[in-house]
Order: sequence, then structure tokens, then C-alpha cells
Amino acid sequence: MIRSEVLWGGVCVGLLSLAQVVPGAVRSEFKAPEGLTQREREVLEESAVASLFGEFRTSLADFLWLEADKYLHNGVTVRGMLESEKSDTKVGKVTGTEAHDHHENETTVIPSKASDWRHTLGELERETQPYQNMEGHVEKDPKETLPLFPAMTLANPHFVQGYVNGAARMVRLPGKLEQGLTFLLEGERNNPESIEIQAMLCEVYLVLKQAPLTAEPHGLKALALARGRDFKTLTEDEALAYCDAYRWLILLYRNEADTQKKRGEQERAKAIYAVARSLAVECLRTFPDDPTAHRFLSEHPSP
Amino acid sequence: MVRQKWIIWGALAQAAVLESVRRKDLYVAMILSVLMIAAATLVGRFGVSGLEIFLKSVTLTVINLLSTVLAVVFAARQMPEEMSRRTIYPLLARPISRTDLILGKFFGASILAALGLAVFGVIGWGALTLYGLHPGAIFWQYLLLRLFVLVLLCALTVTLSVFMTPQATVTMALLAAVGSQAFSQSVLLMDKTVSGGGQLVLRAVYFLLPELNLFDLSAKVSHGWKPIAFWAIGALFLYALFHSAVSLIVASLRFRRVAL
Repeated sequence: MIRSEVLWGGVCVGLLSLAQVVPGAVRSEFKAPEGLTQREREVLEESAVASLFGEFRTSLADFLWLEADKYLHNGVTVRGMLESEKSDTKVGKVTGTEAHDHHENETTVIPSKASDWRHTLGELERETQPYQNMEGHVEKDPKETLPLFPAMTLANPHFVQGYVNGAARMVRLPGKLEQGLTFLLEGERNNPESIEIQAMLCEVYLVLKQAPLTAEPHGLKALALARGRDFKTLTEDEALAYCDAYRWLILLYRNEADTQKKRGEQERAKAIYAVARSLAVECLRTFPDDPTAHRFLSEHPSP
Repeated sequence: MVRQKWIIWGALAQAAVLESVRRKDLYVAMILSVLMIAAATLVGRFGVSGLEIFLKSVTLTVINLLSTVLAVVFAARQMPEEMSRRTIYPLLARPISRTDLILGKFFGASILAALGLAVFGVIGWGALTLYGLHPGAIFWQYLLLRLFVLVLLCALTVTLSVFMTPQATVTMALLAAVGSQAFSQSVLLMDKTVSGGGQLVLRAVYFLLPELNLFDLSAKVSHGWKPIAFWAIGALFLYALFHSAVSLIVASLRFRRVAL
């Protein structure tokens, strides 16, 4: 009996030692893999072990994504409203501040006191679970969620949402622009066919880095990727990124044309305005209500 | 009379605890705890700094999961093993009623569950402190409510074990523990889509079944909320006591009819 206990003790000590040694040994290898080719993807689909592992890492990334959302809301979970709830004034609505509100028709998973039929049990749930009145709520500092985004893309390097949203938060924090850009470029390497990442890169280079020459190819690539797909098959995020790519490119060409105009390069400015105009027209064919394209065309009509 | 009953229940509980110690169940719990620390160390070592809430959440999830599994496994095998090993006959030949046996086994399982929880609680607190995270007073409230729910779960599992095979008991009890929150959320959503008789039935089921998720403070601990009000702890104690009592009465009534 004593022998087996000593053995178990040895196993425990061994595991603890392993915990110290393994990370150091594998750190240099601990990088997200490069984007997969079609052939590599087929190989993955044919391998049961790889598929299972793939499922696991996808689930882990999704879990971390939901955790990030919960962090911002102090642990309070929200959900979309049912049709019957939209007109019910007793149902607690989730709204942000005037400056920052991305909630639409959402309510808390735990019902408000006014709409809860459980009385004491409802009170107990509101006391023991994270719950607060979410009308006009302020989200927590996104800084706390930043480490989660690299963790989710580490788990699943093809989790584009993680790259785009993580980078969007990082680049807007003081001193985090380079970190956000590096993260986004890692996302581009792992997802070379992502419309969202290309559109985001265009935005970051144009608006935050003031580097239109670097921004342009990313915007054009986003458009090329989107044009190569059937519009109906684009996800909501992809369609939004497609529209964003048009907007950033229109602004980019407008700014460039304005600069040329100021320098007295009238012909060159005209040519660039024409490029922007053709993009705006093309944009309106796909997104008829886009305000950026409408505004540009009204300010710079065809000569 | 009452004193004599306590002596009987205490002796039966002590026998259950000693049997479990002999089978090294608690050693398994301790090994799992060490694994938990090792896993937490790995997370830190990979350089994922700043994940305080995530680390707290993982630690508390591990405590929840392992303490629940241990409590269910302890409680599920108490009655069936006595029957399969035929040790129940000499026990019942003594001045011990079937109800005493049920209660003794319930107390034994509860004590074992509490010991397991204490081990995981200390390990979890130690791991969090090691990372410089101080969960505060709400962590101890979390452990107290966890104790309440484990006792309730032991009562439910002992009751199920009188009706079902050990494997079915473990499955059902774990489903009840893990699926409690999903059940609660589903009822709240379905309630909005049905009316009349259907709604009444739904609400009756909700109030009849114990809502184990009400005892889980882990989300509040992870997100750094303040300690909860004492009235809630008192109400949850009464809630656990009520459902445990109802459950044990059902088990006792059923066990009296079982032909041995």
C-alpha cells in the first residue's frame, strides 16, 4: 500500500515538474499555423483525430468569444428579445450610452423584477447571479478583455471575428496601435482570404497610420475577394466589411485627389476623382443606401 | 430516542466515510487537485497574462465540476453496494430501520462531499492566491452555497439510487446538476411562448424541481462582485433543507416497499 502511495506521489511531483519544463520547451513552437491550403483542409477533413481536435479548438475559441462579451458586461448575460417582448414595457431592455450603443432589441437572460413570475426564486437568482439593470449601461474597460483575443486565435487561427474585434479594440487604446496591427497581420497570414481582415487593415493604415499607399492594396484586395464570391453567400460581417472596403477606398481616393488638386495637379486630381466616382457607383449597386457613396457623388458629380 | 437515532445515523455515516477512505476516493480527489494546479501553472507559463477573470472562472469551474462528480459518485453507490454485497441484511437485523439506513447513507455521502469540497476549495483558493488573485469574502460564500447544493445533490442521488441502477443514478444526477441552468433558462423562455394550461404545468414543474443553479456564485466571484446579502444565504439554506427533506422522505417511502 505504501509503495503505491509513494508511486502516486512520484506521479504528482512528475506532473508538477512537467508543468514547469514543458512550456519552456514548446514556447518556440507555440505559434499559430499559417493559413491552410485547400489540399491541407481536405487532409484535415479526412483525419478523424484532426477533425476532433479542430472541433475542440473551434469550441474553445467560441467559448472565449462569449467570455469576452460577458467580461464587458460584468458577467451579465444578454440575449435577443422575443417578438412578444419587443413591445412589453416590463421587460428590461439592454441599451448602451448615447456615445456607445450597439445593442438592439436585447434583454438580460435573467428577467427583470417587473417581468419575473418566480417572485422569491427570481429574487434569489438576481442576487446570486450577475444581474443589473442594463438600461444605459457602461461597458467595462475593454483592456481587460484584450488577452482573450490572442487566446482565442491561438486556439483557432481561423477565427476571423477574434482577429478583427481584438485588433479593433487594441488599435484604439493608447500605445496599443502597433500591437493591434501586428495581431491583424497575423490574422491576415492565417486567413489570406478574409474580406473582414483586409477591410480592417485598410482602415487601420488609412485612418490610424495615415499611410494611404499601404492601405490601398488591402482595400482593393477586400473588394476583389468579395467580388469573387456570390453576394448571397457572404455572412453579415463579410457584407459589412465589403461595404467598409468601398467606403475607405472612396475616402482614400478623395483625399488623394484633394491633395493633388491643392498641388495644382488638376488632371491627376480629375483622374483620381473618376476612380473614386466609379467605386461609389459600384458601391451603390450593391449597397443602395450607403451614405458615404451618396455623399461623395453629390459633392463630386460627374463633370 | 432522538439521541439514539443520531448515534445510529452517525455510525452509518462514519462507516460510509471509512469505506470511502479505505477505497482511496479522497486520494483521487487530491490527485485531481494537484492536476488542477498543474493545469493552472501551464496557463500562466504560456504567457497569457492579464487573464485574471478567466483564471478565476476556470478554477471555479473545476471546483464545481469535480465536487459535483465526487458527491454524485459517493452518494450513488451507497445503497446499491450494500445490497449487492448483501451487507444490508446484517445491518437491518440490528435495531436500524430502513429510514435510518437511508439517512445514515445520506449523512455519510454529505460528509464525504463536504470533505472533497474542502480539499478543492483550499486548492482553488491556493491556486488563485498563487497568481496574486484575491477573490475576497464572496469566495467563502461561494463555498458555503456549494456545500448546501452538494448536500441537496447527495439527497437527490440517494433517492434516485433507490429507484434506479447505479449507472442510471449517476447519469440522472449529473444531468440534473449540470443541466439545471439550461433547464431554468429554457423554462423562462418557453413560458413566454405558451399560455393557459401549458404555462401552468411549466411553472408547476419549475417550482417542484430543485433549481440547483441558484446556489452557484462562481460567475459573481469570477467577475469580482461584492458578497451577496445574508437573507439570500438563509433562504437558500431553507430551500436546500426543504428539497433534501422531501427527497429523503420519498426515498424512505420507496425503500420501505423494496423487497430485499
